Amino acid sequence: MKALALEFFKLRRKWILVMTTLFLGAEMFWAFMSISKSMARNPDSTGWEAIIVTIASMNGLFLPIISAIVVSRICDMEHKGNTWKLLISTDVKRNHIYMAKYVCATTVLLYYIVLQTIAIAVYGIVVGIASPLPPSLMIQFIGGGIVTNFAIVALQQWVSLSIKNQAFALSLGMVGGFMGMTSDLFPVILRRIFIWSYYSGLSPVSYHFTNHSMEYVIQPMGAGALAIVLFMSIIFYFAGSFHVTRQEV
Amino acid sequence: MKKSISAEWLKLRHSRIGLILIVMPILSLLIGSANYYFNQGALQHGWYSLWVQISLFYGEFFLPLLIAICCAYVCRLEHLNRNWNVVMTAPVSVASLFLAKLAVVSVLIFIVQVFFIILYFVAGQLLGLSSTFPIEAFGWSLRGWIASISIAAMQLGLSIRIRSFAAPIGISLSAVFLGLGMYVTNMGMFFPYSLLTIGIGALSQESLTGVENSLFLIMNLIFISAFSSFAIYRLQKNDVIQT
Amino acid sequence: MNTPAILATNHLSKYYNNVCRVNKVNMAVHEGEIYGFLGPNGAGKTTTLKMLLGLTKPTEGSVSIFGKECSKNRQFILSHIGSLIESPSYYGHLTGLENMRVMQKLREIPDKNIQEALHIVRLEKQKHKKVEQYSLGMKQRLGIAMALISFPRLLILDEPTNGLDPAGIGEIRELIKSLPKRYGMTILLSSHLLTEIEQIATSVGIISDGNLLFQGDMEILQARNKASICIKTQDDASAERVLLTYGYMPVHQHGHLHFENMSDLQVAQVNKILVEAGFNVIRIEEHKKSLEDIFLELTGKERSL
Repeated sequence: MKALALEFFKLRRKWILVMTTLFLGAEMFWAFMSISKSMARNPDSTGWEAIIVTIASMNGLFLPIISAIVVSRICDMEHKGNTWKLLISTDVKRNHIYMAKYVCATTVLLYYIVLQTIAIAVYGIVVGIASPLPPSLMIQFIGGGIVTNFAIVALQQWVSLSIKNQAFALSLGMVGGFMGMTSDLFPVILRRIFIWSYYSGLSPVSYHFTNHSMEYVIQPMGAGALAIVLFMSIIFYFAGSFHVTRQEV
Repeated sequence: MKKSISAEWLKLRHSRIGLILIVMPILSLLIGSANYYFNQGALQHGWYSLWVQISLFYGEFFLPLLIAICCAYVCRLEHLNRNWNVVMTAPVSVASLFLAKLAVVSVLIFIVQVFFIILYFVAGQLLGLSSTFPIEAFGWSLRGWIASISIAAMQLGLSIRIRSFAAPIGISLSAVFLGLGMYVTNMGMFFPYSLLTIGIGALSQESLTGVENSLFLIMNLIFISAFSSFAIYRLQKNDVIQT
Repeated sequence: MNTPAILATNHLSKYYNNVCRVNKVNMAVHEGEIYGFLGPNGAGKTTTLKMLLGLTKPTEGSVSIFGKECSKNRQFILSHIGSLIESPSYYGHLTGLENMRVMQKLREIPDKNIQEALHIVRLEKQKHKKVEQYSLGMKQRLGIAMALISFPRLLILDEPTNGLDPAGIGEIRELIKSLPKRYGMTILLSSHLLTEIEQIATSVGIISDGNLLFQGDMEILQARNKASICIKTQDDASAERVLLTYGYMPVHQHGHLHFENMSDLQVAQVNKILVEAGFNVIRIEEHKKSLEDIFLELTGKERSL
């Protein structure tokens, strides 16, 4: 707990929340533009489903990258100031620091998703969607995002802390974002392996193309998929923690 | 100027940045080619269709972020371990320090562009494209490179100012989307990121008219000189702060 | 002191958010000197040195080096200065030799300078090791080698013995002392340790709270810093009376008898007198003035260091 408070303390004056908010702004601006365009084209398919499915697939692009950025910023300050050594010599255990950084990063991303959900609700009401906000869909949307973040943050933290040159961590985030964006093009087996595809994979809504027309399908959260993501989170977290805490400094 | 560039080049040793420079184009090419392969039925224009597929991913996503990463990297070297102290007390002009960084990033991106066009050729052969290789591809790459220098000038300015490695890259991603928006609304000539879209022919392969070509060049020149002089001015004016 | 100053500042001042860090400093360093820039941490030493090098822009005042105005002849002046500011700068992913090569490229100097500079700081054996694997002391040596690389006319070193072990400190001190004679350099070095400045410098400037309190030859400072002798006996008051009859004039303070300017022979004499007069001499101590005492004298008021 002490270590976690310290992590948040160290983020002061780093503008990390401002930055994530601006980043979210860019995503939402883009998403709402494209949603209003498609709504204008076919007015029948206006509904919460359309919004959720668009945002979920855009999250596939944006969340891996913002995760990479947030995690890199939290980890890089130790590389920059050579403070990792300093931290180890205090009585705080290394794996506690690792845990604190992880919790800190996932909290910032939780903020992102919550803010995003609020933005969706506000937008839906503003454009006048008739039906009320479906709570079950929204809960699944938030849940899917959070769980996928768990795995991605764990992976990014491993890379950011073990490789000093942050270009690698950021490139991984970039590749991840790209995978997330194009995941619907991949065969199912690859989609199961690439964790970045779970933003749309765990989304409560997906769409299918039938005879050149798009159709929204409600998909319940698959227990199998959920298990895979959680399993990968655990693997990445402990592999990273094990590797980094045993690394020479 | 020459000495600054060779010093800059020396700093890139052991950095393994080359790995990233190679992997990114390969990745965008693989995905683009796969997309082409699975949709061959709908894509009728051979080499041109293949270019659309691969340059869309490359020009709208990988290349701009790659530029941002390169710029962030060459600045991170100085942000670490108080190196601005040494660099700013070297007997070279502040302008040449900045321009050397810009030159090195430009050369790196040039190599990436050459590599990319080779990959494009190889992919076309492997996919069995029968028609002749389009000469325009060289023009697209070259113009893409020129627009890349504008982006690099902007990103270098940001990365010198912002000490974080990751933040300027986040900004560049936002700028990519802003650039797409400006391209769609036909204001593409007024933003470096959309100049890249125009230059590389990612969304439209129609060749530019002579007027458009000159406008493209002039806009890039304006951006490069404006961003560079602003960054150099700031470097000269501000105190060197190192932790 | 008759030679014109190689480095001079004129009312050099720096304000950060309207808080004064360096206040109208007029500094003068002469050719061939080792100028010790002395002051407690946070006194404005580094800020002043950074202004000399143009790393920090003065709020007011000007700097001239080699008789030229700094803001106008930046490149010329920098090409004749070597510097090490704050802690050493280095590219961790490069080897020691490659770090030197970066400096070489920027300064256009021959290969043999690299060898010589590395030899002087005794880093030849480790030159192919990445600098991130160096110890703090080795990084400091590399920083000195990088400052020396062009064997400049003027060498500016900020706390050069930071992070070195006692043996290393002694070695670097000897090295710095030898530079003016061997290479005709002028050296400006800062420190917060009076003893260090005393052992190396020929001139000294003392800064505190951004004000240059004293500037001049080392001997002048050393005169102020002469050791005094304290003697404690069973009965100081009576002992003082006895000594007065022999012509000694101790000051009775802080429970000691205090003597200024005593030679060794005189100390022995005083001891003999006291013992023969039947006093038990409890201790005889040599008392050096600390930096604090000198500050106290210079400013006439108490300062915390």
